[in-house]
Amino acid sequence: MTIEGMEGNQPVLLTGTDLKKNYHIGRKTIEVLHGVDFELSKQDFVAIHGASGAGKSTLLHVLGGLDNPDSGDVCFKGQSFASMRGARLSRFRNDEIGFIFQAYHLFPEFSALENVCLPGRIARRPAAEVADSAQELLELVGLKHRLDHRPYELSGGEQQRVAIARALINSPSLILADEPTGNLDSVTGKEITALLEQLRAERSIAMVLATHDLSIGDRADRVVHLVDGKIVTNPAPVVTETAPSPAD
Amino acid sequence: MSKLPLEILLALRYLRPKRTFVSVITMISIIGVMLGVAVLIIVISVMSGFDRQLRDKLFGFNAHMRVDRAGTTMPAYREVVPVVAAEPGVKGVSPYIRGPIVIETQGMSQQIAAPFIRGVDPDHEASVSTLPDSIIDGEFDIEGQGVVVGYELAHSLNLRVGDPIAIYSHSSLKQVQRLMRNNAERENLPLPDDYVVRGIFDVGYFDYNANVIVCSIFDAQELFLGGNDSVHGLYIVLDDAYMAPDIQESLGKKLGPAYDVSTWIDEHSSLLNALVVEKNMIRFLLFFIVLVAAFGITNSQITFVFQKTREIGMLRALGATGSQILFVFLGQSFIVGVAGVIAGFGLGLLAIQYRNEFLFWMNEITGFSLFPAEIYGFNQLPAIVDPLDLVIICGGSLVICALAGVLPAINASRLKPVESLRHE
Repeated sequence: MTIEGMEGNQPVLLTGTDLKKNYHIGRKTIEVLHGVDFELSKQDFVAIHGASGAGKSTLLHVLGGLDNPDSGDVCFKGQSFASMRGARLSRFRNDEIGFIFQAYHLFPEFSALENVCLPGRIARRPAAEVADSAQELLELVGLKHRLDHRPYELSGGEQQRVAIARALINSPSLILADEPTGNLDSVTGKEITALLEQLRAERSIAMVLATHDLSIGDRADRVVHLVDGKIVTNPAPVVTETAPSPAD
Repeated sequence: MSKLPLEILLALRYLRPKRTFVSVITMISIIGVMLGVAVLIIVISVMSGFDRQLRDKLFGFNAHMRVDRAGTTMPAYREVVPVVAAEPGVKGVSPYIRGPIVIETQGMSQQIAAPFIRGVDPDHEASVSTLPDSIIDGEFDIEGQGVVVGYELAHSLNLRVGDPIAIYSHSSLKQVQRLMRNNAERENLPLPDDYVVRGIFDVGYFDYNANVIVCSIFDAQELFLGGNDSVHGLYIVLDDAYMAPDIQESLGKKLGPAYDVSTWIDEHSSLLNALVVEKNMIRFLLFFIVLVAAFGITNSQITFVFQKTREIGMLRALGATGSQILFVFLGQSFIVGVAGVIAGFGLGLLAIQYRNEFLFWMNEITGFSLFPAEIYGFNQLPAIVDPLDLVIICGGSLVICALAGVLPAINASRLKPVESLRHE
């Protein structure tokens, strides 16, 4: 078992040890993660590269405590997810982790500002304080003029900027971004990646970004290759599949 | 962003679709609860009104309390009247004599009936009953062998004001029976007393209208007590009919064991209890309408949870706990319940306010009378809105609506984040 590279002298933020995850569809078992070991330092930016169905999303879900591994454990700031179930894990996630998804997952009933406020309100922070922070963040991501717009009134790039602001509202230690540019054109995708990297660096936040786009890896501190549910050091050339599997 | 608690804020927003004010599914749920609550308020209020009207009619002809002596007459009634009248809460006292008689109409077609006769003091009757005000033909003149007859009895015997009738009292019939046993001559048999119908009354209660005639207490003393200055008892009317049990106890102590003091509750308990049971039963049955409406809420909440599965997954990803999700959907069903109850409350009170106009309109349109006065004994639909009934109906409906959302809310709170995010 190999602990994936810990470079530099930054303290460890997160470790995933021997993570295994299977999905069951009828009688068929799909093995998604085959004993993944993963380590992330504070302020580290790691890109997880892999084809569709390689298990990138599943790994992010497990690292973020959204899904439980069948075996293995994730330790975040020294606390084991296995010992933190239910409400405690939810509160920990709310406080420490910001999620960004390919499909944005904004709430259509809420304006851009209200969407950004949601994690703060979930944390029971005062409404006025959260609204001020959300406004600052939206200005920071270039959406000062879109505060009261509903998601369906925003472009894809703008929606992802709102999602980025939402992920940052509770000042998390870690951002988990699952194909954040997957639904965007290449120009907008590069802008979003640059924005993410800039904000992460300014705020000293660690980030794990799952992508099948090798060019994004250029911006990362390191790139981890996930092939068939395993982390490999020297991957073979990637063949991108068009149909996503349940694991993605 | 609103300062409302997150759960309430989300519940309110989820009840509104993206572009219109209120979703159709929300409206249907609210209308279901509204109709259930409105029907409950209307029916229970009409039942209460009917109950009150019946009580008023019972009290109108029958006093709230009676004092009598078991199996015998009350010769000392003139001494008892001031004692009863001095009792706090007593509004009026009047002596009475009552008993069964046989009457025979005169003229071409002689008819016989066996009603009850009630001898009353014409000077005091107005203080204990509505009889003097219930004369619909003729007048309340019972001096000098005059009687007033109930509307239904007069109708069945074809009696009119001014018609003579013959009355056989209990004692005269006994005398006839005794003389016949002794083979007395026909001409020695006692003749019935002749009376004149001076008025016809309608006290609004069929039994009284069909079975009672009223004469003066002096004539009744002649019919039943051989002309002795005695009575069968005293009628008492109270300021508050519901104080009867307390006053019964107090008067019982003052008058001693020689006198029986009874209340309207003792006399009409079976009828009034039947009304109470009927009202409770109707309330219980009509709550099923609210229950059906609540199933509508359950149904719409299941749909909401299904529609919002991805958003529930995202809320979990953002760190929302299971209980926060639970309260979002519980709050939603509660809001639908509150909106339905408020709307039903308004509609119910509006319908009660304009019930008679509505009935009149229905009569005009259909030519069919929903509540014929000749059957139901009232020209207008009675209704009383009792605040306690409103509290029970609205409170009960709210509880049912809140409970209706429990299962979908629990289901929402238990959704797994990753599976929810993948939901199509």
